[in-house]
Amino acid sequence: MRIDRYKVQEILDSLLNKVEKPAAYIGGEPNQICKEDGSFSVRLAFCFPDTYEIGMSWNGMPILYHLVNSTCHTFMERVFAPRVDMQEQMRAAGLPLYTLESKTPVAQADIVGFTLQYEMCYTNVLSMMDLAGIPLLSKDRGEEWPLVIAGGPCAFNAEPLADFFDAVLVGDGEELLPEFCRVFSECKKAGLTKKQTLDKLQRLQGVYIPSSYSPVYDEDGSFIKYEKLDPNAPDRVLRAFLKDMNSVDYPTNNIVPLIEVVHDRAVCELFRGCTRGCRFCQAGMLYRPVRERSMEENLRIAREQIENSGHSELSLLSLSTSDYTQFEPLVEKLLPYCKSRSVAISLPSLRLDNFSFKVLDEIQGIRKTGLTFAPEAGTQRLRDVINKNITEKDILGALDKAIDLGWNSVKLYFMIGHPTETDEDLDGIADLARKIMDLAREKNGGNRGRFSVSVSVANFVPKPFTPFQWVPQDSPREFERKHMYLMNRIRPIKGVTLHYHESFVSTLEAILARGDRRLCVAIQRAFELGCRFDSWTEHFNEKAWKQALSETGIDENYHALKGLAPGAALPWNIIDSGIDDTYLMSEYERSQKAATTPDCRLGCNGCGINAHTDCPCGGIL
Amino acid sequence: MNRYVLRFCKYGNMRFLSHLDLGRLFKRAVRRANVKIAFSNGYNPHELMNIVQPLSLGYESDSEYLEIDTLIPYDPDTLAQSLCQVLPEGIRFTACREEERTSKNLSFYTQRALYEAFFPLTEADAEKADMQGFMDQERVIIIKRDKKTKKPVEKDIKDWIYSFTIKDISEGQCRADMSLRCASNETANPGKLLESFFGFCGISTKIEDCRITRKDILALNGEGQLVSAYEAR
Ligand code: SF4
Repeated sequence: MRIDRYKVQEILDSLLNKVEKPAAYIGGEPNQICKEDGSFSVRLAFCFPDTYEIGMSWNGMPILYHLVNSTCHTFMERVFAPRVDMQEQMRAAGLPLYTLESKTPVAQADIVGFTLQYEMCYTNVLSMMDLAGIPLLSKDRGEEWPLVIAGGPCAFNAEPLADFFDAVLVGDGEELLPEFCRVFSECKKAGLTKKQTLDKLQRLQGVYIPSSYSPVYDEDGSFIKYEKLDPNAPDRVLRAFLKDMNSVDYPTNNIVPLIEVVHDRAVCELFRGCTRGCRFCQAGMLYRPVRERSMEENLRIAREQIENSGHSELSLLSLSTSDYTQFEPLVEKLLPYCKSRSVAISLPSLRLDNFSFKVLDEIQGIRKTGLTFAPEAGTQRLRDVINKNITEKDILGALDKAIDLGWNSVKLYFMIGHPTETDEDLDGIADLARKIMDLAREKNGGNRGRFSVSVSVANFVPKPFTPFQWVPQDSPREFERKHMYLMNRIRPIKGVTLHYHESFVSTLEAILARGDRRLCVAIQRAFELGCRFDSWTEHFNEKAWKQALSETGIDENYHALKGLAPGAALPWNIIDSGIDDTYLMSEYERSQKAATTPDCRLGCNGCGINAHTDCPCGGIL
Repeated sequence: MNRYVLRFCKYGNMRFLSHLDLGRLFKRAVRRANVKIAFSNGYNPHELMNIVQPLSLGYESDSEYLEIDTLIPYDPDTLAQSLCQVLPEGIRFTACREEERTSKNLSFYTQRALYEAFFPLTEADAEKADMQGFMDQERVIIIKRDKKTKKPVEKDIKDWIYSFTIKDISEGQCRADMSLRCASNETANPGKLLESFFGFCGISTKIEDCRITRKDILALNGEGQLVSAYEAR
């Protein structure tokens, strides 16, 4: 029986009383868009492979939702991963995964699109497809099934999911996704087959069709190259670029969630990209070049969003907020506006200079929370290796001021397991924490008072398209040794606490991030063994994942721990990120000599992105 | 300052909005409509607004009440209309009037709530339904979760049941009408009552399959009469 939306609502009525957070499954929020049947030709079920609360906090969602729904050809609807209890109820009641807007079963959409924001959501992709009743493997889906596609930062290496997707969209989605839907709608109108449609879509810059290529491995299992199965397919798929953030009609009428989500606030992305060139940072490479939105536009978007949503918090987003060229005038204009409407401003990733202190002091008033630093490594040498441009003097100087202004807690973010790291670098982490405590004590007349330092260490995961894409990762055991080592050094320091992450999760993240197509079976096996919500500590099933990897012949050592020989063929190089391979290599080589590379704004470093699009940020300082 | 009481309904999927969610929704509606709402004094100022007697998650309602204090006077109808702007389908303000501002809000005066429930009942279960026997019990015990310890505890709500009737309406479908205590700290939950009834009679209907609607909340007016909370003050 074909289930229609009335049936979906009827089944929902009978089971929502039985699940937790039922309001995550009903849609109908203020500002939701619902198109009439017949007023569009393509239905896009846009899936965020995690819960509603997480997906609705992702700032790309309202952008794509608005842009796609502004077209006359496509109706984009939202789908999130139901929690485990809801999944069970849905299966028991025979309710397939459905869209929130029109309650249409996902399998009846024309296109099912997944956004891949982090590797640990991959089993959720499969569980959502399964819940929708859609065959997982692209080759098993005939003409009657929707086109299943993916995008997002992880789409830059979608090989571990390549067997499941018909097409992968790489790069900025603002123009690409609506254009993709438009071409699709023409193909649909012309009655083209799936194969013919994919052939047309493949011509768009940024569209990668995995089935057009077949990977080749040598006897010992190393990846060598792709064989092109479709002569029309490009040799490498160049990512899509959004040239100018001012040319896009960004939304100000965002959906306002009815339940509490992770980030419940108005969001304004001041600019995209980052000029600082940290060598471990994938976002810093994938979002090049820096593209700023004009101050007028940012002001308008921030204000209209606040007025249209009734939000009481505004977040100014970017990879490095204080680098926005109009930062001071923008904030000076926004402050009184927000104050008069009792809207709080939050400024993530702020560099602490005089101006930001003035701002923080003003917006936080007497309740001073969340002063954070991300030195990422414990010694200057290692910070030079990773090209993180912050010195101990910067941190201690800023803290000196912060303590005067009344802050009494600070969070420090580090990563461990960077290339060339030794125990001395770990000592550096403890030393920095101690120096901060000493400073606080000294400024407080020899007394610690309520001052506290929280040290958080993440495990380094080498990522594709970074200068560290070749380097080996620490083994889980080595990570654990380092955690204990740090714990022993930090525990004796009063007022300092240490937080660290599960090691095997990081190993898995590295396997998935740098994986090739052989991982598809492993991920499918993990899904069959019950893995889902892998980024949730309470759901992560290490045993099942290890079983899945070993049953499908994936050698942890090969895929995560072993480095790749510089010059070796890389499975993700089927995608052209726009950054020259030679640039990544030279950055890697410089890292080995602890040689830093300056901020792009001091002079172009020749990453090559400007061969494909305008790069307005080189040498502007 | 002025105080307004607004009557609203909550239908369909919106029955899954919790009391907290609803509060947030109304605060945003106030901001968006640019209503000059009054704030409390103190360290952490918050909007002066009160939703009268929280409704359990999953219940619909014909008549819920919201009180808000504003800094300037408004025309009640215009106020209700402008606040409706950002409300999702299923929640609507249906009436609004100004009331006298006193130190106590409406929740202080409420006494009872009227509920209606629809639920399936098999023929065999219908035979077992023994309302007389149920109401003749010395105590009517419901199981509720203790607010602090989160452990299930028994509670006798017999004195809080003003009326409880069941009618067969069509094949296998029943309707229950209930008038129950609904005052600060003394509230009887209609779902719990039905559960207790089903348990007493050995009826197999599950509480998840009952569709419950609050019809109105009653409060004492100045003359000591029970009237709809909307007219009480
Ligand atoms: S082209 Fe030059 S300035 Fe632009 S991002 Fe690359 S290195 Fe930096």
